[in-house]
Amino acid sequence: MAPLKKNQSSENAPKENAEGVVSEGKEAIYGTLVDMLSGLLDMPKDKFSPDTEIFEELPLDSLQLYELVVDLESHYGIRIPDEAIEKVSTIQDVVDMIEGAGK
Amino acid sequence: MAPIEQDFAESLLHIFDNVLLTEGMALSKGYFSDLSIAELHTLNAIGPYEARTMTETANILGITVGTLTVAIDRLVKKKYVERQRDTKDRRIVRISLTRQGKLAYRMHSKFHRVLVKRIMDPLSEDERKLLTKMVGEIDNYVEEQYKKYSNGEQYKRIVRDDTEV
Repeated sequence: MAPLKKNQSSENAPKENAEGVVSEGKEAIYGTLVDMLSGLLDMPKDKFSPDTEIFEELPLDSLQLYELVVDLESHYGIRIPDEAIEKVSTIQDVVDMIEGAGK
Repeated sequence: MAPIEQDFAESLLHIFDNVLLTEGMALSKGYFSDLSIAELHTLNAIGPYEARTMTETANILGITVGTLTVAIDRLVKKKYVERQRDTKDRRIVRISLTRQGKLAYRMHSKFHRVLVKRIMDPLSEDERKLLTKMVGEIDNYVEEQYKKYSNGEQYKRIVRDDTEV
């Protein structure tokens, strides 16, 4: 799968509901996620794609995984339980999970 | 005591001791070595999401607000907890976990999840239900005994006795 294009559409602009849950389009979520992963792992952004297997291909230890989870929760105002983390394998899965949680 | 009862009693005591020891060791050798077990349980009582009042948190832990204040002062200094005044009622102080506090909470929850998964995974659905029921009965019985010995005082969790809190 080719990397998603950078967010250009106004419908992808972040929207916050009454509970403080920020909802973004998938492309914007992908961009935010890659920014976070790149900063966390000190890796260039072009090393990531939607198909990247998070636990297989990235050198993410358990603390870094939770740093990512806590940062995503706080950025989007959502809750990501451990059960949800166990169900994802690729970056695209995480994007879908966040998009689903923001609805 | 019958041999099977003797084995059971020994295993039960080992579980109590070893869970506490392992938690302590995991903390001292892990990323959050500046936290005590009691402080970690305080973070658990606050929880990773909504801010709580001091009274709510003290009730969950079974300690007084005064005792909690001392513990929170220390956790604020270590940057695991932050205090905010309620925007509507300035007399109310709410406490919540910082990013560092949330990380410690999640890592500690993982310890429990891994332990439970290791115990539960090999069991069938019926065996899991039975084990959960039996452990629940042990928990209730031990709690009843504790209440009996505490002479009708409000039930306090064991964390009260830890000098770190």
